[in-house]
Amino acid sequence: MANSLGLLLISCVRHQGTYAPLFDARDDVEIVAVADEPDIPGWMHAVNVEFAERYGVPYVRDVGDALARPDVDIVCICSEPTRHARLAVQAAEAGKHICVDKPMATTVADADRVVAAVEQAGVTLTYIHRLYSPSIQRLREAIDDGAIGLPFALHLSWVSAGGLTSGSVEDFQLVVDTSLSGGGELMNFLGYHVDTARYLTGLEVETAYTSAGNYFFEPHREHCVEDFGLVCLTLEHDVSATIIAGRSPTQTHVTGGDYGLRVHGSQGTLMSDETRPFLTLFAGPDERRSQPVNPVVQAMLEPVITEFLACVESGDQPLRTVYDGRSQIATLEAVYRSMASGQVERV
Amino acid sequence: MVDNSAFGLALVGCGMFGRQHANAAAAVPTANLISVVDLDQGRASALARLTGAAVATLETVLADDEIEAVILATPTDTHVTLAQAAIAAGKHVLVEKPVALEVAAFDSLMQASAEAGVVLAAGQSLRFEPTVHALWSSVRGGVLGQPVLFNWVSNSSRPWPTGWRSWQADPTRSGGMPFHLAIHGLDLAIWLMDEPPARVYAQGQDIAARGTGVHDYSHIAVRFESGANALIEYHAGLPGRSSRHQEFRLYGTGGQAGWRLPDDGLLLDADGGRPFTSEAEVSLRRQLAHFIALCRGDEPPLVTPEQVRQALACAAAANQALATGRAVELHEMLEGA
Repeated sequence: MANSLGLLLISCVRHQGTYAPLFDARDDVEIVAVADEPDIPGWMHAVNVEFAERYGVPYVRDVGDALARPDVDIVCICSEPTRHARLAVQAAEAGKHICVDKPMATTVADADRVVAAVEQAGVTLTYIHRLYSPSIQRLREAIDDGAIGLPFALHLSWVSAGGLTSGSVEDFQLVVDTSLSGGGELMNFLGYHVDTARYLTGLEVETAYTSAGNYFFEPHREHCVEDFGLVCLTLEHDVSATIIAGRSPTQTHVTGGDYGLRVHGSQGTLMSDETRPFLTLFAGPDERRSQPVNPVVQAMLEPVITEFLACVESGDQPLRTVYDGRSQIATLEAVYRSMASGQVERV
Repeated sequence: MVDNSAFGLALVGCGMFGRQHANAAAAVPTANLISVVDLDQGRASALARLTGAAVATLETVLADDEIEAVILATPTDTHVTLAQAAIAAGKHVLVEKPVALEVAAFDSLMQASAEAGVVLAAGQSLRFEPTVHALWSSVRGGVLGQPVLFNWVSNSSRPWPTGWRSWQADPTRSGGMPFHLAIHGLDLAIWLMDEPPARVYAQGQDIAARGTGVHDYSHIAVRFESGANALIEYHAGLPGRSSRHQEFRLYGTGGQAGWRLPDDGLLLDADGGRPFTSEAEVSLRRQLAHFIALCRGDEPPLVTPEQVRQALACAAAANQALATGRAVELHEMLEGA
């Protein structure tokens, strides 16, 4: 394994349980350590210790010390979102290539610091995204093929069903406590929509209008953060995008959520639904269960990791770069301003 | 005691929707379509032959004691004047949507109808569509908890019949997309939410009728007083002769409901012959039966005047948002009833 890349897992509190196994499954990557900052809460240390034990590697309670290890080439950052940028800057300054959970940063100021550090160090950074979803890739191919002419309006739904107990949230404080999350469910999810709109059209977001609130969940209400909402964007050339985003409490949802896309173009319309086709199981007297036929998460995430590693080797730019991460958060800031003002806000 | 005797009707306007109203009247046992009126005599005669009704003029209809109510299926800009004349003649009126292009004009019609002791009803017929009605029953039954977001999507082809002669393509006559088409989705949202709308934002594209302010595509975001939302999308310019994509989703605190055509129904007519098939006829039939019962005092109105005002105010606000690119607060438009 002389040519394998040494991977440092920086914090494991959010989604590392999904990403670390994808790295670990590869022959060209070796997880060499887990690291985090020394003064984080005890429960975060406990999570990190668990991951270190799982992979049989040391847990280093100082990120600088861990980054100084000669066997570390790349890092995967899965802290709570508000620490993403600080940890990414530290990794870049140590000359390490970075895969960071979404969102890359929770403020534009933080994103700018990451951009500067990555430019200065000349390292590769990508963040977790859904653009390798087969449906998004096929929509992009059809648009590039000219099948619908010039896109002029998009609709993007991305609503996670199953509430806070669906297994995707390690601790609900991570999505409602703004000192950890940086915002509510729009901060958590809206980056996906923004990425998709920019990726399919090749256009930048110019304005945002938002009507959102805490409709469903007590933890969101207590922390005064949104759990669900409606966003209208304009992109360059007056292209518009409507978005339904957030988390719904529906436990019995047919496919675990709504993941639909519609692109209207001058010569036609494209529609996709990531959850179709799905298999319906009549599994008991009162139980009807459905599951998507395509393993969407694997199909989306594996290419992100594969591409990141290839770009580390080649020096090429990944599909999503530090600049895309900055665009995402710039749009999110306008979305939050609009939520407060009730009016259209410029990005 | 429900009155099952025949109820004398006249139809004014024998265009595409006039014909659908005539079909509905033929299928409602309590309805008796006596006369049809159109500026185009040939069109009126053709419909008269099909329905057994007589061709008449507006004057003779308004003077005919056998006729208790008038159905107005004329271009939108004629609604107020024609409705005023019918009300003044003591006739009940069922006005095809939208009733008017201004809230104030609707208010004056309501006042006139109240003074004359007749019914003025808005033809916001989607409420009578069976699937939509089932959704409403679920919401009212509490199955879905408190509604939080209603998304209505109605995309179809062939937006501009008769080309540039189309009155729909003239915003001074049709009110543009928000009044002409989106009024249906707005009405459903107001009905399902059962509370006043507070703020409206809209975006759109005038691709075919460029520069006219009539949008082939638009979406309207409505925020209600409680913070609940509606997103109404209309695209009239799908390619193909009879493409159709319709869907709704309702998110509530207790669950969600959704429906989608063509997947979940048989509305799509592949030969391009009749993009509005039986569902529209079923809706109009149910609407007419309800209207007759309403005129006879047998049922309360399913579409309340306040809800009609709210839908009209949302449409007007959407046009303002389309023109300015800004969200519009509704309280001023909804004052002064």
